[in-house]
Amino acid sequence: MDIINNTNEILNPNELKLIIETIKNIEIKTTGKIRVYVGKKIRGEPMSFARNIFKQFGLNRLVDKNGVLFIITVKDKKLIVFGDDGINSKVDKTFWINVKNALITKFKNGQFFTGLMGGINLVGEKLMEFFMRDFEDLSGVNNDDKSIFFEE
Amino acid sequence: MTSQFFLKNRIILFIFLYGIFIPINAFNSTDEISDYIYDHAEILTNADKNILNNKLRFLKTEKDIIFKLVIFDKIPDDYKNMDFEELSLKYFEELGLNKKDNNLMLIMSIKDRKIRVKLGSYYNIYYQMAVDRILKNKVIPDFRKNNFSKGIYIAINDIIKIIKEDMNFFKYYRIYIMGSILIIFFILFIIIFIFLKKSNKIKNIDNFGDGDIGSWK
Repeated sequence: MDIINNTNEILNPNELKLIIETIKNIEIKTTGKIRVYVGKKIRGEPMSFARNIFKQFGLNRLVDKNGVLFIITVKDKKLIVFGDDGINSKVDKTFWINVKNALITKFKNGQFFTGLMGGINLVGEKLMEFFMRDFEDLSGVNNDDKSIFFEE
Repeated sequence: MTSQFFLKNRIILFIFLYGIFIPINAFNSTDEISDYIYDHAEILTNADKNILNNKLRFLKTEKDIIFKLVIFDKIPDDYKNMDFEELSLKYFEELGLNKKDNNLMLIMSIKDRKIRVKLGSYYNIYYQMAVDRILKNKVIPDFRKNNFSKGIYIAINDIIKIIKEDMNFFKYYRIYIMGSILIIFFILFIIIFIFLKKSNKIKNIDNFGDGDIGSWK
């Protein structure tokens, strides 16, 4: 696989648009939020790094504690899937392992879009299972395209 | 009419002068000082003696306790062969303080660098310990700096406070007891905190969430 130097090289504009649309669709149906952070390297202890990014996105402020964060770091080729306490109380550890494995299998072949879409859909299914939004309640749904962030 | 006016004025003047001079005379009066203070070293001023005397006299009136202060420049030749403990006991008896069990005496010799508080038999060991603690921590440091009158003033003041209290084991050791209780509570708190932390009942605010990490190298 080619070496990726820039974070925005893993997705083309069409793929990016589709991922944003998918996340938005999940967020309209559920109270959960999904964010993707594409960086260069994980700095420090991975879970602490994930928690910091999680807080920077404001995912820790969700009422149901059901935010989910994907961290992809292109230089050290690492991936973190991280969920808040609310969703963790509904799923067990194997769920995150399955999501991670689903992504890694595709990432190894350079299929970032497919891998990421698969992971987002797996998380989306769980959010829809446990955190469905009340009918006509769209509070907290973002209309911006900030569900995915590329470190420069 | 005129003589009446002068008579009135004289009376007013008399009352005025009486008002001024009587307190000054009272302040300088030394007639009762010898009842409580025996300053053979002459280190206290008349003003010091008056203040201390008033305190000791008030203690006698209020609590019927006689507290005497004896200050030597050096131990008199007659008592040279005695140790200071014996001397203080002898003086205690000579001053008639042993006639009542709640009397006491502060005795010191400046040049011999000795000081004792002799307590009557009414006072238990904790009074003696409390008094000795005052001498050691508050009075002797002033004496080392030759601040005798200040040291004596502190000694009299604090000793009076102590003998007015009902001193016992718990009162004497209250600082240590309270300190120990605080330390025990602190240790218990730490133990409970560690126990709860280990059993995951306390979750660190920055320890939320979970997930998994992997690599596609």
